Amino acid sequence: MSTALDEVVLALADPDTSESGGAHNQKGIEFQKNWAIVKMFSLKENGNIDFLFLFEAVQDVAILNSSTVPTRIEIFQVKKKDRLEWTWASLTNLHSPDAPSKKAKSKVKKAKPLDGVADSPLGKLFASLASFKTLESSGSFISNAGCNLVLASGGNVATSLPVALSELPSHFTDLLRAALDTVLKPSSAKLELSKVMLEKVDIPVDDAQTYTIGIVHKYLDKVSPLHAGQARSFVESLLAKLGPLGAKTAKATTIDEMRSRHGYSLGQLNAALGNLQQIPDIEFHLKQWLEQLAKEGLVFWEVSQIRVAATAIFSRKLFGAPLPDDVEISICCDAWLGVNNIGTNLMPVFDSGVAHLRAKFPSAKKAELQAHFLLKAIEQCVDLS
Amino acid sequence: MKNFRFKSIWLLSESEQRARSESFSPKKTLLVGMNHTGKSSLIKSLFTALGAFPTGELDRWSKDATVLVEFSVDGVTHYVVQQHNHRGLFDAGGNLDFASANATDWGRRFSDLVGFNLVLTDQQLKSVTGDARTFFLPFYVNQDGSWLANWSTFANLKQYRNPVDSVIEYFTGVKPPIYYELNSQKLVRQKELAELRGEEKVIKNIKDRFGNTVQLNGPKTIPDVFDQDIARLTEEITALNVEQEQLRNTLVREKETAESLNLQVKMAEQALAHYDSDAAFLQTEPHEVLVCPVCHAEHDKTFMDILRYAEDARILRNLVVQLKDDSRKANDVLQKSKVRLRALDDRYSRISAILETRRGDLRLDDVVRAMGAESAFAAFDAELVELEAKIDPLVIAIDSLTARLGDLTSTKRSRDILSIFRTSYAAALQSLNMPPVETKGMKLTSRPKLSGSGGPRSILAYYAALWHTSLSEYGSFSMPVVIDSPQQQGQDAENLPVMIEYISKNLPENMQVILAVEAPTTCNFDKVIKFDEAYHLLKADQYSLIYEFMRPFTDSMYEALVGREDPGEDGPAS
Repeated sequence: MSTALDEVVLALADPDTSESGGAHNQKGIEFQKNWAIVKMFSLKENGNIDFLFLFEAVQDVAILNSSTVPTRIEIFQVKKKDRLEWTWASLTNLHSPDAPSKKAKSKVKKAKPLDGVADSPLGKLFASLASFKTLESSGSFISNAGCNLVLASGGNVATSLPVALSELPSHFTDLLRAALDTVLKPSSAKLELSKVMLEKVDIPVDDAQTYTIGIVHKYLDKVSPLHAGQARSFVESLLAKLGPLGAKTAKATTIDEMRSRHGYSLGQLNAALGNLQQIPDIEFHLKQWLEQLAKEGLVFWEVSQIRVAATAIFSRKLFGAPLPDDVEISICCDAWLGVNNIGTNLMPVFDSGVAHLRAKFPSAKKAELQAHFLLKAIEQCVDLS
Repeated sequence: MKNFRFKSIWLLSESEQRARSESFSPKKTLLVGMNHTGKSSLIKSLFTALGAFPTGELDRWSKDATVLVEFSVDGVTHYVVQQHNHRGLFDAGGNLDFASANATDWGRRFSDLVGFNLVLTDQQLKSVTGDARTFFLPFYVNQDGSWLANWSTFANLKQYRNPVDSVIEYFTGVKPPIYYELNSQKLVRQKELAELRGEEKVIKNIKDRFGNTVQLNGPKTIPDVFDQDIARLTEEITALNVEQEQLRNTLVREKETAESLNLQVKMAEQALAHYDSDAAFLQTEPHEVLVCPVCHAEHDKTFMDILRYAEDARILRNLVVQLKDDSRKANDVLQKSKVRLRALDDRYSRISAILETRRGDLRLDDVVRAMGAESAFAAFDAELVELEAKIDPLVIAIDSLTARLGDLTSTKRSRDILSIFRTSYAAALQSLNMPPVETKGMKLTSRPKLSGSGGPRSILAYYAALWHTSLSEYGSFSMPVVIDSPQQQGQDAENLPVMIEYISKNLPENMQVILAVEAPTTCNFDKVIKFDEAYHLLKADQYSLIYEFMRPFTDSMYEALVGREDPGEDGPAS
């Protein structure tokens, strides 16, 4: 058993480092999960050979660089914000220190107690980081909103790329160090502000999923263009898989429990992508085949009636209540398509296939049979490669 | 009158390496020889070669003998070569004209060649043309049958029904060749007429039925002033009506589709709402086994299943978008169709209002309706007139054919022919030392049935009377007469010379006669052929010469037959 992984399981058990999860509303969870998917694809695109995402285990999200023998852990606070930017106070629960140059002029502010930092987002991040000694660790505060903090170099965190806390002006970093020293355990790992980053991401809070679909679509378009159109279903399914992770479950006490209750690995993502490869984009092909049939002689009304019939078939599927006829017609289609080939012109095979079905199901509507035939033909005949 | 003559015969047996050839006088030829010297064999070969197989066995006759016969029809020479059932017909120059391995084909060709168009009935009651057997029947007195009371000259005559009456009527002129020609023309025209009459009947029936349905009591007189307007308006309203009908059908179909589009969109949206709540549940709630909160169905939680479910929803979502688009398009088309139909309806009611307008007592649409019926009747009448124009000439032609056939079969004609026959018979009996008989009731087919010494003479007298009659003004064929041996059983020595003398002197001058007898005679014959060696009709010394002569005929025949698919013997021996 990996000591590194044990360290993570231990961290899970520690109420100081583990995320209770109660503080999130629905939108917040959506934001987190969508951010995680975007992150996964970005890691995959950057050539990472393995990863294990842990949800609601160590802070909001933690990423190990291997699902079996990790050497590094990245810990994330992923927070959405509806209005305004993050302020120093909201990040640390500390007062804003005056710049040394202005010290003389300003009136004396009332200082907040330093131990208040323990309940702040950054305080929690540092507490988690402090529990990892074997694993190389780092932390990030992720949000859709920026922070209104000025950098030592003069830039602003609200508009910049990820920045390390060490890049803040020294009167801020000094205050933060002092505050953290009061709350962290003496046995903790060495406090390094350079290991914690602040990052603003483009994911919109109100429609995080659409943004994610865009990212996945772009990825699929590049590596598997025939399935790019299915990005939405893929993301929805992925969210359905990620959704339950870490939520409302007892904390894991073993590595396996941790993996199954909180984890999602690159291997799982690849398997999901493999599944996608096996499902043809019926919607795309149906549209294309109907266009082709229209060119070969079907008139608008006929095409439309076929679409109506296809819609009915899918509605019944979604309700989980297909008709007995649906099943029988599908079986008959499969049998017929097993011995008949589709040539360059669709119409001849379409006509003879439908004629065959009409003979078998005289009471069924023509458009219904046509729709069944097309859907089955697409399923059987489209090259998935 | 057509003229048939035997000219020569060549007989050849390759197995015996013997052969013989003889030629006949165009007038009277005598064949003299004792029993078994081959007279009958030669005569029978003559007929067999031409397709008529005489009754009676041939003594020691080589079965594979080849026979070549030279004959003429109206002075034109032909040859026929025969071995087994194979026959070849040649012209005077020896060129093959026809070859056959089949008795039926040969019979047809021979009848064509000699112009023999007698129509007989076979046992299946089908009409068939007579062949060589019926052609020679009245003119060959076969020693193995003809001297008796019945007609057993040739074998297998029974394939026809009562052929003798027809044959005798044919040659004596009661029903001559022209009768059969006219009769066949009449049959063709009658068939044509029957078809036309059938058509006429159908049209008349329709006209009658139509007349019962559509009353012609509407206004009959069409005011000239309305004529043009009515025609134009009627045309227009008919066209409009058709257009309305089509458009209404289209509209119904379009409306149905548009409605089903909207209905499906609604249903799909419900299904998607169901999915959405399902998906939200999946994304937030922990699920080991997924139980749908709405339908309580269990969803397997594998990614593939979730993905398929999501895919179905995505496809449906896109289909809904397309259906909404279709629905917009359908509604556009529907609106346009409705506008068009309204316009059509307006025009229709405008025009029918004009047609409905009364002018005094005359309603225009009554006129229109009456006109429709009238023009239908006019069309029927025109059709009937056209048929009549085809039927009339046919009826006239059939009548004229019937009249000519009537002339040919008139009582007077039959009576004249019978009278010639009876007179000839009485004269022949007298010349043959026979007591006179009552000939008044005699028919052409009254073959005598006398036994004893008078038998052969009365038979000869009967044949002679037929021959005389066939050469009268009513006859059509001048045929050779072949008489095989009047020396029949019971014939006394005294009367045999009488018969031979009768044959040499009293038969018509221009008739070809071939007579076979056993003993020489002092009577005058134009040519005498002697048969002197029993069982040796064929001679070894003539073999090579005749073989050389016949060979080209035989070779050509077999060359033609072998070239065919089936040169085998498939017909009965004739």
